[in-house]
Amino acid sequence: MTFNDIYTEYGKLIFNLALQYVHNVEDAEEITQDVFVKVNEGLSTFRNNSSIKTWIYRITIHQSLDFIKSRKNRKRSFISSFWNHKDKDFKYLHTQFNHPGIELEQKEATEAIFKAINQLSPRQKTVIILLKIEGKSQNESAELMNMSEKALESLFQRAKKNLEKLLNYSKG
Amino acid sequence: MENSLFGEKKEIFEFLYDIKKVEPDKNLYFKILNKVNKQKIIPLFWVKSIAFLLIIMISIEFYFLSRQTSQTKADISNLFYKINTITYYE
Repeated sequence: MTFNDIYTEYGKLIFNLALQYVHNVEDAEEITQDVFVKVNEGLSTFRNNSSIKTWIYRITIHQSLDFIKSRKNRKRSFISSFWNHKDKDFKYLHTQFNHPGIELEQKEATEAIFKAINQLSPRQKTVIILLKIEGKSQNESAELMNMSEKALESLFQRAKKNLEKLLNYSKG
Repeated sequence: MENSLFGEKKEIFEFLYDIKKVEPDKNLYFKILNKVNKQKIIPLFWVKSIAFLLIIMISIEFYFLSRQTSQTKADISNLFYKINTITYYE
């Protein structure tokens, strides 16, 4: 499989998965570029222990989580160096919510849900993205996250509970 | 109490099911190729650092060599001095 074939087959998948983590086109593009750099580096040593799709999924998940972590660190160090400044000075650091896959009438509610998802742990965030946005089965998600189906189910239940708590949401 | 933001929907996740897949920008592939090609080029910072280290190492080598040469010269002159002394007493 050539590099071009991989892009044709998985480019959209990678971009969309990254978009669910960062909710911003520019950031998702940056992550997609970094994923392909890693794919290019690892392609020659890639062994078919898992399918190429699983391998790419895992790289994208790690890259997205690393991106969020590094952005948080950058933000923190910047803020700590100017700790005496007012919050309004840092508004340009805030990444704008720009998810083209969300319909306008649902934007407000979905943005609130994503804000809550962002407060979850990386694993809880990933389980929700894989099961509820990417539409992966429990079996596939468990394989991607390298855990048993039972552990995945309990992780999901915890994530759901935390999310409902964060959103102050209960079934009507 | 149900959060008013979510209206009639019973499940939070119903909003997430509605998210559509989007096509990435057509230029993304070229941006990726650019980035991949950039990775193959060694950054100037590393080239400069290695060149700097090499210069330092060569300078240290020259310093020790020159010290060694002057020490050897001193050893030889000492030797001649001793020989001369011996000759004098003989």
